[in-house]
Amino acid sequence: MRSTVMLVVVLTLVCLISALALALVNGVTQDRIAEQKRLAELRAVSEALRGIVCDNDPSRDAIAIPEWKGKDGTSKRVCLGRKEGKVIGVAFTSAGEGYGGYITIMMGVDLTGKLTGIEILEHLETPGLGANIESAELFRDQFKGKYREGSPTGKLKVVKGEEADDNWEIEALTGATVSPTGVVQAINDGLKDFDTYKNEILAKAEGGTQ
Amino acid sequence: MSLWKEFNKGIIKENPVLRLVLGMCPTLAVTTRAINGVAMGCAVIFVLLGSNIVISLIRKVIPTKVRIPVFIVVIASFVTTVDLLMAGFFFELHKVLGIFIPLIVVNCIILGRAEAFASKHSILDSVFDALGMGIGFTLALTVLGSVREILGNGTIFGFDLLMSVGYQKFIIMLLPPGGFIALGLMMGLMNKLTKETS
Amino acid sequence: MELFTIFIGAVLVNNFVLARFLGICPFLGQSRNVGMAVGMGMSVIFVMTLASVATNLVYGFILVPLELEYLVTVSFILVIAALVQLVDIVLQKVLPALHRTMGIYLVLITTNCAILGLALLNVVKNYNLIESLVFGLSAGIGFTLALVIMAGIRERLELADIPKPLRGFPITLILAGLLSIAFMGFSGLVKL
Repeated sequence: MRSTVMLVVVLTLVCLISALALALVNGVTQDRIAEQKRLAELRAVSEALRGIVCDNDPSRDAIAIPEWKGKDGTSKRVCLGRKEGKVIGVAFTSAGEGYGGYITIMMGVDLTGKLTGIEILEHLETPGLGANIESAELFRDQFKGKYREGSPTGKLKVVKGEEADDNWEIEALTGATVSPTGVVQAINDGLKDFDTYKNEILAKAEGGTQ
Repeated sequence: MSLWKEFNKGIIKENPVLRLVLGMCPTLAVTTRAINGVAMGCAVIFVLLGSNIVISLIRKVIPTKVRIPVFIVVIASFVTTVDLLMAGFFFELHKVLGIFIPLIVVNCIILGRAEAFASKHSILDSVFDALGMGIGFTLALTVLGSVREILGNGTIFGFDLLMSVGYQKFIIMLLPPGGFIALGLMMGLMNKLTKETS
Repeated sequence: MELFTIFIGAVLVNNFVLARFLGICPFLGQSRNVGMAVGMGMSVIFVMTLASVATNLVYGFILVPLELEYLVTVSFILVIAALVQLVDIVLQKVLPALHRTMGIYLVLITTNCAILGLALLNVVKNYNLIESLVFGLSAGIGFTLALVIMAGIRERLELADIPKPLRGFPITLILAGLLSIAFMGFSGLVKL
């Protein structure tokens, strides 16, 4: 009986010491990790708002829209790009179905609904083929300035094998159309949601609430 | 010198990946680039050193019956530490390595060394054992990562190697099958070189 | 149906062994013959399903409310180890015959990265209890599938003339690579 008590005591002691040590490490690294996450978001948002020039830090100037829910059920966080205090563009995440799973993007729009740029956050596409959606020169650069007006379906459309002449057309990648289609689906969903929540976003932004 | 022997065996003769066939999961999963191999290797060295030292330190006071759970808690603590440190200081690499950082805790190499060596040897011996095994692991992963990166992407450590000569990327090397086949061939080569069969 | 997608996803499209690289050690070690493979597979399915649910509960009801998410690795591995011990004891008392045949595999399962990997993926993917259960079950089935196929092939391989350096693990890995390519054909089967 005594040996069993010893076993329990030793094990409990080890667990306690470990828990305390980890609490210490966590305390020390917590802020740093949060900062890294913020920097990563800033990089993505800057990429998405490439088409406009802001004078604020969008990653520190964001609002939450509780009714606007993302695919995982969490409320959307909208980063604001301002110039001289007025909001000129917003960036938010969106997701679409790619080849290997969901593609999560950060997209930027100005107040007229024109795209200012996109950044790919997460994807499971095939390296060398669908994964080229990450590349600015091969894929992402063309999104700047695109908008929906004039499109027969009211949405952005992927074209393959031909040039994307109209403002609503997006050129697919050679050898991969499902991945670009997923990205465009994410953008169309995002633009639609932006229409719905635009007034609320602007009202909250001017109200100065974070 | 006995310490040199402890260190040396982990590099070639008892290389954890290529000869002892331990730690397969991270080896195959993260080696799509050479730098990933280095990063994972360093994380494992950190955990190996930490756990070997602590376990060797407390080896005389831990009752035999609870030793495995105790080893696991110690190893898991070091793994969590390296996980948090990487998230704070090497954010990109942390994201790329993903769940395979916490999975270091079930990496058979670490529990294996704790049980087979650290619990029975002095702290200094355990340190050299950890270093040898860890470096052997890192070398194997870096070589595998390099092979897959060169063939699959034409680069090495991010630097262009073959792309400028119009190399057609052998993409399958970056995908799961490439990992399996590359490791299998590497092991076969290792067997041939050490003139032994499994 | 969402759950069906999870099932197909874990068994075929993103097979735990052939696509996610989880559970390689037992995959290489326990695939010598089909009997061993089935035994290991059954144990894994059982433990995976239980572990998936148990770790999901621990994360949701203990770690998150107390803001102790950083203890996920330590707590999960302890839960899994305890669970395996429990299953071992219960099996010994309730089904001793089964314990004699499957018991040895249980010991190996604790350090099976597939179980911990599964538990961690549940967290990453934000699965609720039912989704975790299905995911755990499917992952186990996928693991067993890969294991049994590999065992079937290796039994045939006994009669083949393999070059000396490649015998044993090297040829098994190359085989796994070919199986992995075959399973890649399932890509796009379901929208994940």
